Amino acid sequence: MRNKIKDMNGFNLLIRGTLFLSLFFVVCPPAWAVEMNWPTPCYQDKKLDEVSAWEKNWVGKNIDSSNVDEVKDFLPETLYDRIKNPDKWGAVSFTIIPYQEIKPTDGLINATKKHWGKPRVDDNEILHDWINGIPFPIPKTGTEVAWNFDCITHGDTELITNRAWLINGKRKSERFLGRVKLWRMYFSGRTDVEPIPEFPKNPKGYRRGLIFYFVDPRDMRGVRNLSVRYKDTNKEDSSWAFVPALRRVRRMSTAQRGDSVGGGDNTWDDTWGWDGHIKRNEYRLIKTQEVLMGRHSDKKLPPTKGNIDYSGIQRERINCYVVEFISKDPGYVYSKRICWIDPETWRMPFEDQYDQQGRLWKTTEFTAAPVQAKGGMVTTVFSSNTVDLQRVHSTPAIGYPQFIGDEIPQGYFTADYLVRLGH
Amino acid sequence: MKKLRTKFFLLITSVFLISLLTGSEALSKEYLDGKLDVSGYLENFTSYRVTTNRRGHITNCRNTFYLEAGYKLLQNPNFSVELYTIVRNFYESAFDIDSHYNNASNRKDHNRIRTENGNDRLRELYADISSGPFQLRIGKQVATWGEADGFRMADIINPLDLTWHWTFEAWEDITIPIWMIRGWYKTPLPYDLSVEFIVIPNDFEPTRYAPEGTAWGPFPRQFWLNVKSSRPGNSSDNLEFGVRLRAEINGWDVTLYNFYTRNDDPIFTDNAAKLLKGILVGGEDYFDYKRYNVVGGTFNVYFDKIKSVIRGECGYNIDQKFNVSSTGGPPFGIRGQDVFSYMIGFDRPTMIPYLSRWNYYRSYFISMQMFQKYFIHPSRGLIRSPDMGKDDSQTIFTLIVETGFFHDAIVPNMLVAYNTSGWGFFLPSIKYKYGHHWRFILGADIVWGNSRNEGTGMFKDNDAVTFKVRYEF
Repeated sequence: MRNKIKDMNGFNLLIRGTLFLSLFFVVCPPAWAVEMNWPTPCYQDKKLDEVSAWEKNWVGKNIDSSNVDEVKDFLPETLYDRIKNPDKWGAVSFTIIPYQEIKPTDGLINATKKHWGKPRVDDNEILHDWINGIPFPIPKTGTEVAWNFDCITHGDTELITNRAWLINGKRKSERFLGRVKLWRMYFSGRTDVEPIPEFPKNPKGYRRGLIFYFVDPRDMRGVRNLSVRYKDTNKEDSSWAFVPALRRVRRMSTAQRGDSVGGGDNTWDDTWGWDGHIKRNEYRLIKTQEVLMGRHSDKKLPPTKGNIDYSGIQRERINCYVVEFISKDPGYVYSKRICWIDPETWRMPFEDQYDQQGRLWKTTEFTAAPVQAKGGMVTTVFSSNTVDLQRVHSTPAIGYPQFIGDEIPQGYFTADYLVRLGH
Repeated sequence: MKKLRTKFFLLITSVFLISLLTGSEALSKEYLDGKLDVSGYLENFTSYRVTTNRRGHITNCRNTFYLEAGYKLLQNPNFSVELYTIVRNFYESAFDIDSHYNNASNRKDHNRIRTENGNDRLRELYADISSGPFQLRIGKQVATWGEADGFRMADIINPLDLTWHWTFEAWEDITIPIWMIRGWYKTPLPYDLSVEFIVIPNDFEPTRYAPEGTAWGPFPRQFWLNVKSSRPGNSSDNLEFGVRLRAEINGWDVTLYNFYTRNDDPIFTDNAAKLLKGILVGGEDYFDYKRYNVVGGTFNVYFDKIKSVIRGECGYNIDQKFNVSSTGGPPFGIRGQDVFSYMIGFDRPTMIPYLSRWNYYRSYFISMQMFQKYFIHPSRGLIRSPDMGKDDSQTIFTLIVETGFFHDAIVPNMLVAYNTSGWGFFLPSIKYKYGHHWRFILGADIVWGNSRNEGTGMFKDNDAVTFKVRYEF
């Protein structure tokens, strides 16, 4: 009899358990389903068909001031305005190419899925419980988009040589600004190249090290700037500079990050769109917007003398997040930025920067292309252009990756090593 | 001499023309797949002394050729060797241009500052050998240990060349490189602790002073000649060595150092008879460069609350030798004396209301420093160096301000230093960058002091307008 009762209890439990699980899957399918589908392309199904149909009319076409009105909806207003007014900004054109999906590396996909749903952001824009990968694959807030932008490692290491110019649009003149070599390496949060997710020895808790080495001009030659970002997402970055004229390493103030880099239109924080600490801003997800951006545009595009913008960029249609970055520091050089962020590569193709009075001041465009790296195909920035809309002035730069994913000795990213490298 | 000068100018002209012909936006040149990189400049520095006297107005018309090259001899992940050199030569034509200036000093002394002398043309030459946490730098080089600008405290390894523009030029242009072995070891210990050592086996260079009658010659000619003739030759007697520990502790960059050195500035020997004999007859060393030990440390740290970097350094000179005299003149005795000095300063990029906004939010880099130096229990009759005057302590304040206008095409800069005993200097300048290669710097030297025997009071008649034009390649 007792055994019978036991069997009955077991049966009831089985029934109840089945009912509960059925209810759970009915209530919670979206998260499960979304995870299974990630990474999702920018366009799929009907929307992809719609985009393909649009592309039939436009792919291969040259867009300039005469026909830019027809694609106005797919351009940030600042870019449209420059193409539309060649008398003021110089004649610029671009071509349209078809949308091509860019998939994350296998390492990034694995890391993102492994830690799915664990990272969270607090009210002070600080990220918690993140190890590696994209923390918020389906972001719902501006802060989550900003952290995705910050956390992707784009191949874990890279060495890039950048050359930049100063263009005076009023005088139609050009000055070579300089040449910079740039080493970037992630110590933690790595996804593509072993060790993943972190170097076994990382006693100071670095997340990322970044070195700028000025090769030209002569009066800045040998200046090395090291900045370090920490795993502790609440900890402010540290930076140092080796000054050859003094033959000494100087600690840098983060207040200098809002200053111009070597006299150019861009600031230290403007590198890659935003290279400051995420906690320094508040974020607002404004909308998504389809824009024509260059992300399969690896042509070497030196600036045309006196022209504010590059010509010849190949642009494709991408549905970007548009996020407002509002500085928490009232004394900061910009009051806010409006940033377009590509949901597949988490690169920032466009941003508009506003001055302290809230007036539109600058706009920056980054063009990128996928390249084969050690850990798979990653998207790297080949050119950038910061345009000062108030002064009709710009700082175009082109960069060539010398490697992505190769090992850089950890010891490079110390202030002590700056002294040892310095002459 | 004339032949040499002709050759030198031919060389400069050739380089200049080659640079113009091959001139491109990339200034430095890379060869051999980037293994060799070469850069340099040609420069004219002219100084016009505004004070009216018969000692001449044009105190500098110095034409400099400077070439810097680095070569990556061997590079693999575990071992690398790099070579680095700087060649520099100059011709000071102020003596040829301004007859008053030429006549104000003894012509026999001009060769000392008319061109770079002998081996000094090879300004630096060293090999960097790196393997894992070890690095050795062997050769003629400059080593810098301090944190201070404008004045030197912990930077006592390389002496200074004060012959042509006192301390008013960038350190890299006036330090005298010396042959040494420098090594680093990055320990596996916490706080990024690293060890650096320096051994100077036999090379010794004293501070260089200009001869009397030239703009920056502070001493009477006979004194200057005696100092020069007392310079010790290169031998193992000159051995100097030091060690420095460096760590980063909770955001503080900290160093501790010890350097056993020969003083770059001489004192009178304590043999009065010898001294008198030397002055009268010559052939004796009446000056000696005595040894002492310096222990000290430096720090720098960034405080986000005040958006400033605070930095400091201190040094304790143990048993530094000074002359003592009961009369202020010979005979001199020698006493060991401890000296403590420190500097504390801050660097802050600052947005100045209206000015920064007008200049499109370009910040002003502001740096202030305070230096203090104390004799610990000073001996009676102690003869102090000219910068100390008669006091047992000195306090100096400096202020540096710099910004950039028009995308840093115009860069104004100023350095002002004030010693509380009344001397100081003010060095404003404005730099104009024209195109890829040309740089023009208009500046001024404004120098003051209560006494002609103390600090920059020695040069109070040297107020000048300076102009530098540089072609960089």
